[in-house]
Order: sequence, then C-alpha cells, then structure tokens
Amino acid sequence: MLDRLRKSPVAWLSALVIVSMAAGALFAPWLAGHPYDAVSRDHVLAGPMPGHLLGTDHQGQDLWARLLYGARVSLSIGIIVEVIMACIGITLGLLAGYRGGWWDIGLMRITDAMFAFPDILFAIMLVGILRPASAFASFLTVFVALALVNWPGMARLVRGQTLALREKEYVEAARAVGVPSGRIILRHLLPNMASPILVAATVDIANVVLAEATLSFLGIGIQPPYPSWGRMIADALPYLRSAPALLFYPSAALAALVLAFNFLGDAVRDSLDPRLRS
Amino acid sequence: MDMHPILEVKHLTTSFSVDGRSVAAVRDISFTLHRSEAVGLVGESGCGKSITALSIMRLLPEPVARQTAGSIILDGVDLGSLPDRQMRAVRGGRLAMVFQDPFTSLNPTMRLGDQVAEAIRAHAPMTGREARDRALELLRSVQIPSPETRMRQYPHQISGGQRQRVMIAIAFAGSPEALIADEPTTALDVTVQAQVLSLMTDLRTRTGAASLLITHDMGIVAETCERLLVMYAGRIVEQGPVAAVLRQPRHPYTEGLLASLPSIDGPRVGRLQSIPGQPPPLTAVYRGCAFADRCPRVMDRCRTEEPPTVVTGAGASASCHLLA
Repeated sequence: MLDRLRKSPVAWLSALVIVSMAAGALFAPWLAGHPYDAVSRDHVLAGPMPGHLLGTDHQGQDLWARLLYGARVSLSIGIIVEVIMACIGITLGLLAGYRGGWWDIGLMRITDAMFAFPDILFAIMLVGILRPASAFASFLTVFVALALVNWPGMARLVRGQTLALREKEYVEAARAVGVPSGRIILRHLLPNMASPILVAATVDIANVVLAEATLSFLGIGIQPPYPSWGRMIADALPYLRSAPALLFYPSAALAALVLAFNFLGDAVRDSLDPRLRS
Repeated sequence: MDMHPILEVKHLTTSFSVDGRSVAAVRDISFTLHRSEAVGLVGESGCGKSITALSIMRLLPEPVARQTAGSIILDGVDLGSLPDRQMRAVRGGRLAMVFQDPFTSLNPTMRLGDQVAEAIRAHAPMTGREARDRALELLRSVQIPSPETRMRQYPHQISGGQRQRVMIAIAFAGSPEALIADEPTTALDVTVQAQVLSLMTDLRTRTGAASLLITHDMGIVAETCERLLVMYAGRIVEQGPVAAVLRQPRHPYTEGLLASLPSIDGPRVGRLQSIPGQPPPLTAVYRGCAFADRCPRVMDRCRTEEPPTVVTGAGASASCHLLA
C-alpha cells in the first residue's frame, strides 16, 4: 500500500503541504519573527515590507506571524476533531448496522436528534453551559462542541455501508467458517468501507475548519487576540476593498489545507483498494 | 458404511415472515448424511434448497427467517440447542459450507493466504506463521498452481475456477465432517465445473467428509452423488439412491426434471421437454399437492389431500397419490 502511495505525485505534494503547514505551526515562535499579538502602530494595513513579510492587518499585527500561529488552531482542530468524530461515528455506525434491531433503532434516533440540532446553536449552548474560563478551556470546548455536532454524518454513512456489506457473500462466507464477529467487523467490513469513510473524512475536515471559523467569528470560538484562519478571514471582511491581501492569505492557506487533505484522502483510498493496484 | 449418520435433519421447517404472516419456505423435510457419502439436493430455483443449507448452518437472516420446527443433529448434537459461541465453533469446523459464487464469496481487500489462514485460526489456536504454512498446504491440496504466489495475491487476480478452489480450501480448513456445497459450480465454465467437482469428490473420499451437494443439474448429481433428494416447493418429494431414481423416477416432478435433460444416446425428440408453469410462490395457499397444477397426471385427490410418503424401494421414497 505504501509503495503505491509513494509513487503518486499528488499524494507527495499533498503530504508536503500538510507537513510544511504542521511544521510552520509547530515552530511558529521561531519562524514568525513577531509575537502573534504584537501591534505596530506605524504600520497598519501595510503591504509586504522588510520586517513584515506579508504586511500587517488593520491592527498593525504581522500577517505572517498570525498565519503561522493560526495554523496551530486550524490544523489541530481539523485533525483532532475529525479523529474524535470519526471514532464516535464509526463505532456507533458499525454497532447500529451490524447488531441491527433495537441497537439500530436506538442509535439512529439519537443520531437523528443530533442531526436536528443546528450545529452552531449546539456549540453556543455547550459554551454557555461549560463557560470556559481560560483560553485553553475555550479551545477545548470548541473541540468537543465540533466533534459532538459532526459525528452523526459519519455514523449514518458507516451504518449504511455496514448494512450493505454485511449482506455480501464474503461476509456470510466468513461467518460460515466461524470467524468471530469482532474479526468480521475489523477485517471484512471496515477495509471494504475505507474509501467512503476516507472521502467523507477529508471533506469533513474542511467543514470542521470552516465551522471553527464561524464560531470564532461569532466570538465563541478561539478568543482574540489568538489568531485562527477563520478569525482572520472574518476580521478581513470589512477591508475587502482596501486591503484584499488580508483576506487572501488565510483563505489561500485554508483552501490549500483542505485541498491537500482531499487529495491525500483520494490517494490513500486508491492505495487501499487492491483492485486499483497494477 | 456405518449406520450412525453424521448429519441428521428431522422435520425441518423454516419460515419467513412476510407482511406479518409466517410463510414456510422449507416444509417438514428430513434426511440423513452418512460418513463420506455424497447426497444431491436438486430442485428448481426457489424451491428451498439454499434455505435448507442456511438453516443447517444456522445462518438464516433472523428475525426475517427462522427455523420454526424440527431439529438438526450433527454427530449426536442438536445444533438448535447450542449457544452462539459453540455454534460458531461448529461452523467451519465440523460443518462447512462452499458458496455458490466464487466471485463474491471472497473478501476483495484481503490476500488469499490471509483468508485461508483466517479460517484455520478460527478453529485451531496457532500462530500466524503456523496458520500460513497450513494455508499453503491446503492451497496445494486443492491443486492451485504456484500456491506461494497465490498466497500473496488478491481475489481479483485469479480466475473463477481458482477462486472456487480457494473457497474449497477454506471450507476444508477446519477438517469438516460434513460439507454443504450450495451450487458450487453454477458460476463456472463447464470444463472448470468438471475439475472442481472431481476435486471435491477427491477431497471427500480422502477426508471422509459427508457432503450435501445442492444443485439444479441432474447431470452433476448422476456423476458425483450416491443418493438424491428432490425438492419441490419446500418439500422433499422424492429420495433414493441416484441410480434407482434416475432409472425409474416415481414422482411426476422428478420425471419432468429428467425429461427436460437432453439425452445423448436416446432418440431425438426435437424440442427439449419442459415442465409447464412455475412453482407456486411461497405465499400461495393450497390444499393437497403443491405440484398439482403442473402435473401431467393430476387427479382430483391431488387438489384436496396431501400426498402420502410411500416407500418405493431400499432407502427410497416418494410423496405422490399415484403411488398410494
């Protein structure tokens, strides 16, 4: 599988984008050149110049620095929330689909109820209940809220796949030779639904990163002055005409990240499918 | 042949629930399988052959279908009384099954060797390495060319006949005492069919496993089986030694099945004969004989009274009013 992945240039490029963004986020204090909240009163809405690689925003904060620190939020939210919700969604979906009966009915009604909740409203409610005291606590709250809001889609997808796959003859054949249920789920069901799961997950990452932006925009996500790409996009909107670069950099970074995840997901899916191997 | 049967099916009835009603797909069938014996189960599509197989394996899609009466006894143990965990040990262990379609019965994402090894490890505690060695041995015993290469390949890389050989290797992984083969050659070319059948016969005589061969092909039964069960609309309408039944069928349905086969040495009859009409749908409510509407020798009694089962010879019987 890895062999094939290594041969795909798209996979390489996507991995490169993700890894360099992760490196930028990780080493932000050394690469940024400015603290993310340092205000320069002399340079407001400035273009690229010595000392400010990409220029400054409306408060005179260095854009390059904010982009790097913002990557911390967007990347970690995207990946961690995705992992949490995929775990919840896959587990519940498999349980509902494989067990069937009351398990299915019960779990799917809970899923429906979660679906019915407007996700932003749910996140606001959660923040209201938990009242995060510190910046870190509010960060955690956003994680939890986004994971709790987003798993139902994955659960439904996995349940549907499970229902379809468990009727396959090879699953029946595996049961006919006495393979235990746990093994059937792990070796026969999951690998055969890897493609749709990966595709859904990579698309979801994009949605999660954008949802964080929405929450931050509403003022209940990442608290200023800490930057996130979503926050930066929201902050840039009033200056769209005068300083489009403010909007361009975080948007471009976000788009590149989302695309990289999508392409990587595609490449991983292809390499997982033995039929596509030459 | 020892007289103690390996598999004994007694008065098995399996029903589906359709719109809240219970509809029997298999109705009160009984038969036995002895050691290293091959029994053919024939009948048209939808007569209940596969449901019989799934009932024996206890792989029915519950709660849609369930066994509503009768018992299945494997070597003295009533399978209906076994808890799930023990039944799982029986499946693929003492009782194995070969499925109809080798193109869909193998997991496309698993290497062939792993799939055989998985079946082995489901029944014998051994390390991965030991299981792989045993898998290689099994693949060799089903005459797969260059088994070492095949072990690392995926199902789509080999032909249908090869896949069915792998399925047979998986079925024999637990050294079964009884094997149910549900139309194992239907999806294969005629020449490959013959090879797979002779392989199965070979393995059966070598291991002594009894086998129930489900098919709609009388030719296959004539070639490979010793006894024959003819099923119609969920019932066994005739059974007996293959040679006797083929020479002198007692039930008009068996006659019809045989007449619809082309004969290589008999007189040319122009068009092949067929049995007019179709089997009744499962949901049909009828009195008397299910075959009455299609039977060329139907009598008034056939539509009102259920036909009796009459012993027609040594180990042979048929259910028809004509014999009474």
